Amino acid sequence: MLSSKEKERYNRQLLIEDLGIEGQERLKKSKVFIAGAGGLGSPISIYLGAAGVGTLKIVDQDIISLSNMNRQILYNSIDIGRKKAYVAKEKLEALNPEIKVEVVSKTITKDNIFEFIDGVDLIMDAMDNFPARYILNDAAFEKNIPFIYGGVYGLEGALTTMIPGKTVCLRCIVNDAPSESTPPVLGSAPGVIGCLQSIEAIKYLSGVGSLLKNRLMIFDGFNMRFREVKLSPDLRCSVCAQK
Amino acid sequence: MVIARMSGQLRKLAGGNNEVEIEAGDVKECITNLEKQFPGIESRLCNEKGLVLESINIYVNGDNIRSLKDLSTKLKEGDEVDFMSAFAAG
Repeated sequence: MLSSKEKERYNRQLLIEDLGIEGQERLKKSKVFIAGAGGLGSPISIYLGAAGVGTLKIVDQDIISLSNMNRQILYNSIDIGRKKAYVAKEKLEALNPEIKVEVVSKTITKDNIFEFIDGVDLIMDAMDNFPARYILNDAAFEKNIPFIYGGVYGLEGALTTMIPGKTVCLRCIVNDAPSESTPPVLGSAPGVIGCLQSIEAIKYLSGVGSLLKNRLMIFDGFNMRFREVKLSPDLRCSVCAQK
Repeated sequence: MVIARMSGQLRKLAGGNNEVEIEAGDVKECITNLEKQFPGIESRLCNEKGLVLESINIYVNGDNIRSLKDLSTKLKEGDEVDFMSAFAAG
């Protein structure tokens, strides 16, 4: 049940007919794992928290640094030197005291990922490298938990929503990702992609609309264009071919 | 002419142009002609055997060439060819 304060807090989105009280209650009962609290994790956690997703579980081992400030909008300059996970919890609980925010300041590994995703309804990719994304992807498909990929580069970015048994997995899209120690990023690029990931998450959790399944949406900030490509399963995929 | 489009890390290989108009009857020819215009680009797209690198996806009008005829996929006037490496940052 939503309290009168919650009804007021979420008033503007309750006016979305497809969402309504029932959709909002579904959001309240949901638990989302956000892997990373950086450039993507900031808008994702802010918008999922603001929208009233009941529990956010955020894992990030990093410490806030000056070079994070162009894009990691959860943090202020005064937070430099503190652990992202703990500052994220403070900011998100201040934003919306109606939600629960669980945080862990650890690196996500193949060994600990299952304890983080236990009981979650959805996994949000907010990582900054593909080896970590593959850990999320493989665990998501093993446990049948939907997984929303987002990634950026410069003024560009992309996202897709993956549902085990119904869509491709991340390894079908790219099975040998490039590595670059310090890729270029304009802060508003993860802003765009993280916001779109949060819309996908809210739609999935509340049952509103249709999802970005088997399609990769690409944002081209250089030419201010969105485009899409179709995603086909890799029949040799070791992760999802048998699903 | 087809439109060849570079995304992510590949964009800088085309001199910062992410859209180039190019003559090509198939994807292989498209890459060969891109190489003439932007030397070095072919080796970032294909291995020494001439096969597309695992880290690269090429889409013709939104379809991955791996589900079409790979580098032999025919192109016609106005087709859009997307060369993409993964967007890894966050």
